[in-house]
Amino acid sequence: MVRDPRRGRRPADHVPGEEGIWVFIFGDLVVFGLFFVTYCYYRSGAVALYTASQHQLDQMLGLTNTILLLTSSWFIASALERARQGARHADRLILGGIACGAGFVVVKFFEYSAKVASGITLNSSEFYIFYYMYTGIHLLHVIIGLGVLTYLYSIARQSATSAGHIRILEGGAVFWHLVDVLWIILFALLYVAR
Amino acid sequence: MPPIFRSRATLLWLVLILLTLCSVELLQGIGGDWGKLPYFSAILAIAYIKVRIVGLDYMELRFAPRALRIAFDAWLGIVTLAMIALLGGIATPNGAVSVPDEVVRHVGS
Repeated sequence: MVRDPRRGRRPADHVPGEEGIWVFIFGDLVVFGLFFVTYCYYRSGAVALYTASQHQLDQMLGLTNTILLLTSSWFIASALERARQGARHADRLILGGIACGAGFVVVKFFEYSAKVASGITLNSSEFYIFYYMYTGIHLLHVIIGLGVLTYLYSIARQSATSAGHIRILEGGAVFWHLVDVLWIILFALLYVAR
Repeated sequence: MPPIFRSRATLLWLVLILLTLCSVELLQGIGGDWGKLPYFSAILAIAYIKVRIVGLDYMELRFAPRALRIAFDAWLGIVTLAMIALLGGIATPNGAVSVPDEVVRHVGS
């Protein structure tokens, strides 16, 4: 039985977080949208080169990172749900989210290291310019997101959660889910669509 | 079972993981013989569904003002269609719009 405890617990037309965060979110979505389409455009002009380069990527590492970010998103969504209900252990769930996010960074480090060790760098092919640039900018988002989650953790640790606190948690959570959204498409484009 | 594992967020997490595994294991196994348009469409359709689940439920756009939800859906729809058109060979880098071979075969048969 699936229940949604949030339903009916908030006013309709509720903007999660501060409204300003959504200006940033949509700005980021537009920029990455252009990134994705640009990649597809260049790929369609040199399919054989891109396919060969994509087959050099370790799909298992990409898959591991996808599962880590999806699970991290689950932790943060669940933490927000609990904080809203005034339930305990929202902070522990956020810690779980941070652990998965940190796992993503570690996996990425190993992935980059293996590539560089085998002589594959930014200049190896047109595909790798996109690969290093896009995943690098995304990794920066993950690292900033981990800072945000650490702040959320400190808020969730406080005994009383006010409406203001919930708003901060919502805003931080939205940013973290954006990082997940961008990775879902990056994973499909770089690691799967080959 | 603790309530947290019976939540909607948990069910959706399971769906997201299954969709991810489908796109890698299943699709790459059976999709090799497909034409590039159906193959890339299937991969990007799965990504579309995953992004929509994260957007509507985890980002809570389901409960947000209509304009915000529509803007997100529009972004996702436009980007997905553009990616499918380019990867699937409908739109080509020189700007021409071409009809992929599999569509020609289908229409001709």
